[in-house]
Amino acid sequence: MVKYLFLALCINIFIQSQQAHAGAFAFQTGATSIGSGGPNSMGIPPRATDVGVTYIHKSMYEVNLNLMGLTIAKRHYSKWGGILGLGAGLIISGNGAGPGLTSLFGYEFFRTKGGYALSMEYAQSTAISFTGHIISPYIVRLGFTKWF
Amino acid sequence: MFSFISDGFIVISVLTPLILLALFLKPDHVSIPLAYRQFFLVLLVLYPQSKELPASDIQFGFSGIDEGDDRLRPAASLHLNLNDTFALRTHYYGQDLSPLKERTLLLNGSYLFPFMKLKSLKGGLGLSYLRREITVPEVDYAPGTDLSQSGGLCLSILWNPLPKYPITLAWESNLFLAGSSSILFTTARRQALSISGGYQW
Repeated sequence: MVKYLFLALCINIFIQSQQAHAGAFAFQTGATSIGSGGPNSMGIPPRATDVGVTYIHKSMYEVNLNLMGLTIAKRHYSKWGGILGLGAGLIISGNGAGPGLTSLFGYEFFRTKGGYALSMEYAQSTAISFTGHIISPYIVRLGFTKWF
Repeated sequence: MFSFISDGFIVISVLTPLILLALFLKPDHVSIPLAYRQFFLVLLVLYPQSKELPASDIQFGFSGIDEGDDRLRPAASLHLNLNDTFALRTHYYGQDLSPLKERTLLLNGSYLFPFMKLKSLKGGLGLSYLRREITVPEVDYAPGTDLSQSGGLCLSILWNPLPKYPITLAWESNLFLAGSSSILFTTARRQALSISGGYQW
């Protein structure tokens, strides 16, 4: 009986993984380091500066808006479920702002049939600020993603 | 083939205007070294020649280590790449603030996987080890050594702009947990931006 339940669960996960999505929104909160020596702890409840929003298009291009700046990235799902993304945008740090690159590493846990998933990401950026300095903010964040 | 070209085109078409924007919008009193500009121009011109990464190589190079304050500290780096699957990277740097002497060794090993359908671009996931030693020589007070070590997570992106040659641009982050505060995502990071080249076999 148990093995049939396990088989049914596997089939369910497989079918679920084959579903096509039109896109997703992700709401995440985390501790951001903006070039001042390291991040402060994430607030409970989260402060406004801890919160970030991401829109993911079905083509896997995503738009990120958080304390670290506004970026556009292409995300790639590896075979083992990890997320790796690379993109560019306007990067903001405590020491300036400027155009630069961004990358993210993440993982989605427990994606439900309703399209909700728990997601955890590490995102980092490096840019040349308008004043000529290299700035490198980063953020470790946790939140949920709603696929639709 | 089409996706390879389109992704490469997207990366280059995003990077180029950003670099040019940074060069043109900077204030006059700030000068970006000519060597950097020439290096980026060479990459942009030679990028279409990309074919595939070398199998294994050993590389030496330079890196800038960011310790969380947006300052890049110069370091010497050594990179060992095995069969495009595993990478072992070390960075060694320090400073002499007389009479103090600080030396830091950053070592990480990563599993590499393909990324964005570009053979020249790899993502890496692995473990890091940090060893910092601060020594105080015998001057007016007792000599001593402060040794701190830590282990963490290594996340990296490696790009070989000229796959015919063992050259790697690496952007790696070494994340270390900050004690009990890590529950609230407080971390310490050593980011390394490095350029290395060497011998392949």
